Amino acid sequence: MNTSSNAAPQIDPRGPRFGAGITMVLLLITIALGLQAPGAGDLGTRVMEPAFLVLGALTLLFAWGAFAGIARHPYGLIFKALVRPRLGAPDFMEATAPPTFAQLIGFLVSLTGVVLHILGVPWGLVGAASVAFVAAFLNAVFGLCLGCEMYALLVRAKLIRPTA
Amino acid sequence: MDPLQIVVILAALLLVATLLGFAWQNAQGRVHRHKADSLPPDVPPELVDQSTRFTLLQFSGPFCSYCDAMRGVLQRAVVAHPGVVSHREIDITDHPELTSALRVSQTPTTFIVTTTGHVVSRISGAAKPPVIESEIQNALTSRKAASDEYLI
Repeated sequence: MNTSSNAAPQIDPRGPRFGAGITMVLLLITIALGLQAPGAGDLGTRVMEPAFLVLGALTLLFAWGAFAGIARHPYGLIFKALVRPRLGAPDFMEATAPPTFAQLIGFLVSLTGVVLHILGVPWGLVGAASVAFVAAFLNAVFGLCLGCEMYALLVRAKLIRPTA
Repeated sequence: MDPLQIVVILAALLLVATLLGFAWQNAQGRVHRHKADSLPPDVPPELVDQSTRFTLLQFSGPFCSYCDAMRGVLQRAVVAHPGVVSHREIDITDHPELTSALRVSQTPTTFIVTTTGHVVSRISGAAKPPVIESEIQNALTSRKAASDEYLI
């Protein structure tokens, strides 16, 4: 008896996990760069710092996943073209809504880092990037998607209505 | 900040994330065995398959990522023990009272239940096939002992 309430499109769960691996590496680079230059100087120099540029790019990538849907994320397309043909069939498939919601959470966290950096809050960028890094690491290495768990909890609590 | 300090901070961050991951992994597939049968039964007998000795009763939820994987594991256990165990899956949103009575706090949670509705084992989170196999073996031996006692 299959009681899962999603007739919605499904994806290979290893796709978002692969994407989280790339995100994790980029976030670690962001944190290293951010620690080197902790958001000092005027606004003009702050927004040209490499850490800010990398986190800005990651924020846009999260926005892509959150608003276009996880299935249209560029990492997902790389996974489909290059990685999935080399793998066996997945043990199970996954609904697209939870990882898409997780992208939204990633977007909000990285956007917080971007805004704090623009406002000149010391270590704001590094702090937000660290939070996002832990989440990306848990997803990539352990297969625990915190944003997806949040989505399931919010649907169960009827705080959000499930989207396809 | 000098490079050594940066390396130490990055290493600490990796360590924290790894420990969190292991803590989560440890909580998956955790087993709790029930020793005595309660009265009334834990699970209404109509939710239990009466044609086999034990039912693997899986509690699933909407958008639960590992429920599908758990279903596969349990269905393979049914194939390995034909006529002995069966698999039933219920949605926690359809059975809120039972979910709270059994204190199901995560999905998937699986119970090994007798035909009378008594829980033998509880497996919280997604579990690997050997865990399910050992709990089925435990159910078979412990319930055998219980019925022998009854006959004497």
